[in-house]
Amino acid sequence: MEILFKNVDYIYQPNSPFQFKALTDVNLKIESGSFTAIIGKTGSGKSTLIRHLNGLLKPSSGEVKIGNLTITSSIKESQLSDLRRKVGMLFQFPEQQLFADTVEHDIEFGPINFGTTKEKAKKIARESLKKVGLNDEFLNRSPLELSGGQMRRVALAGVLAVKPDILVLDEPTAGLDFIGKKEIMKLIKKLQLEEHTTIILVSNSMEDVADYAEEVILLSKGKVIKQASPNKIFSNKEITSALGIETPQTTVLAEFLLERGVDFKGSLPINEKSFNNFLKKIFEEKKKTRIL
Amino acid sequence: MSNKALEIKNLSFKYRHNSKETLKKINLSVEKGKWLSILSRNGSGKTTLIKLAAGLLENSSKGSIKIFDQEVNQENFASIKEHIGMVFQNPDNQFVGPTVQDDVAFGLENKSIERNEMIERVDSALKDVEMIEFANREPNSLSGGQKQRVALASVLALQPDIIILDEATSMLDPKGRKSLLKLVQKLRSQYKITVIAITHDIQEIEQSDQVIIIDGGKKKLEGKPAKILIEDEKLESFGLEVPFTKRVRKRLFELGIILPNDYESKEMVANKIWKYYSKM
Repeated sequence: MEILFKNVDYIYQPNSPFQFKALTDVNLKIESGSFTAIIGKTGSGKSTLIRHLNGLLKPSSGEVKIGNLTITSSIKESQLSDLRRKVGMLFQFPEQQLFADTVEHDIEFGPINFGTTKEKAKKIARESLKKVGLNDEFLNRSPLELSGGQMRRVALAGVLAVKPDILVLDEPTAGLDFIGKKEIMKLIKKLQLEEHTTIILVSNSMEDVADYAEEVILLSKGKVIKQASPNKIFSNKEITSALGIETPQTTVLAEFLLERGVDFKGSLPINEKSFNNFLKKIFEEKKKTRIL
Repeated sequence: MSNKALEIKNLSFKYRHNSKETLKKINLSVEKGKWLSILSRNGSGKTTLIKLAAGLLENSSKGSIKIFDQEVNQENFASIKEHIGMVFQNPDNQFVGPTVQDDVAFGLENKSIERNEMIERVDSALKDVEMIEFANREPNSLSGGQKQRVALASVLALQPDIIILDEATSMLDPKGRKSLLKLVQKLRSQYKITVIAITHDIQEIEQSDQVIIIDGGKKKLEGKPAKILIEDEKLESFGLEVPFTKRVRKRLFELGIILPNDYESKEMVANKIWKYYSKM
């Protein structure tokens, strides 16, 4: 499902002394099956924006189109129920939302809530758990006994159980250790590639954004500053430094080298794979000039 | 007061429902005013170790834990508690007051500190963490980094000798993380506070005086950050990330460029590469 924002404004507590405009004239397009990261500092509007994707918030003005559904300020709650099944949301620290006595009951809750039979939901719970890399043994365990990384997976399995077309993830790896982070990110990428789920990732880890996203939406003060590939965003130093956006470590190191006089014309490396090519290239070029 | 903030001897620990020991024969000593980082992947026993040291879990082993020469046990719990302040992982789970200053005052009220002194201490703690302008704000309206600063102020107001950071930065963005660690470093030297930080992030150990790595409940490595940061293979085997500049060094080696095996910042590595490059 394609996502389209047209001239979207969002105002919290309108017509009150606390009125606050969180989104201003947001226009963007997210293609079906793509992997898009939303970045920006705290308070830039990331959370407000993603809450429009399943109708938790409705635009104060303008419209949001998701597939065939157009959401405006006047849409009725009853028109949003189908959307809520199609858009899965994994909020920050989702393990805090685990509530059932067993992992199985927790994962089944979504499908049953959306009208699936108990029997079918049981089957779905198994499949979803497998998708997140946990085996059947976990079904009867209490979510509270699991490690942080395992709980995060169970929460994700709960979202996947309703088979969303669009998966929205708010800081899915925050607080996990190095291995846990890598595993979750790989899993999300796999969902995009194998199930063609549209992935929308809010993240503070620029390394994750550079490694996994195809498209980046950069927000500042409720406005879209730029929508482009990670490569274009991170190599645009004017924008990143003006907005205080941290760039990937590889980009920082490559910039240090260029400042010192290393000769390189291509776009700056944004992840380790492209950094390795960058290193190889600069030394090869240097050797060539020496021979000439 | 003794010069040893924490001394652990031969500590093993097993949870009742577990068949295996969570901690195995840990020995550890931290001098007053130093910064110890306990580094390990999730589920390796570091939180258990900290809970035991703070008296939040009862030490049922033969091993001993001492805070400033006093054995940590139920009888001594009240005075042990006086020494220690803790900041936890999730900024949203540690607020009790309706405003920032009420929150910082909470611990002082519990100790029946006299009102004038309380106001003074709250003010000075909020100044120390650079959050005084936010004194009347609602904690919920703050960013993650600001919330952790307030949590730190609440701890500081109680004037502890030891501050324990239990993955206190792991929910923050890279800037919030750096700035919180810098602040802790400043407070440590200003008030001679001992810092014990548990983390799974290798980038966070740079500022510490002493690092231990725990894996599978055992102490596997101990030393200064410079020594720990160059142990690429060992770090990997303990499920930890090899520092970025060390990964770069490895890549350079494959290209036939050999840098010394020291831990260095990105800028220093850039200088080395440039030196090599410009002489080519």
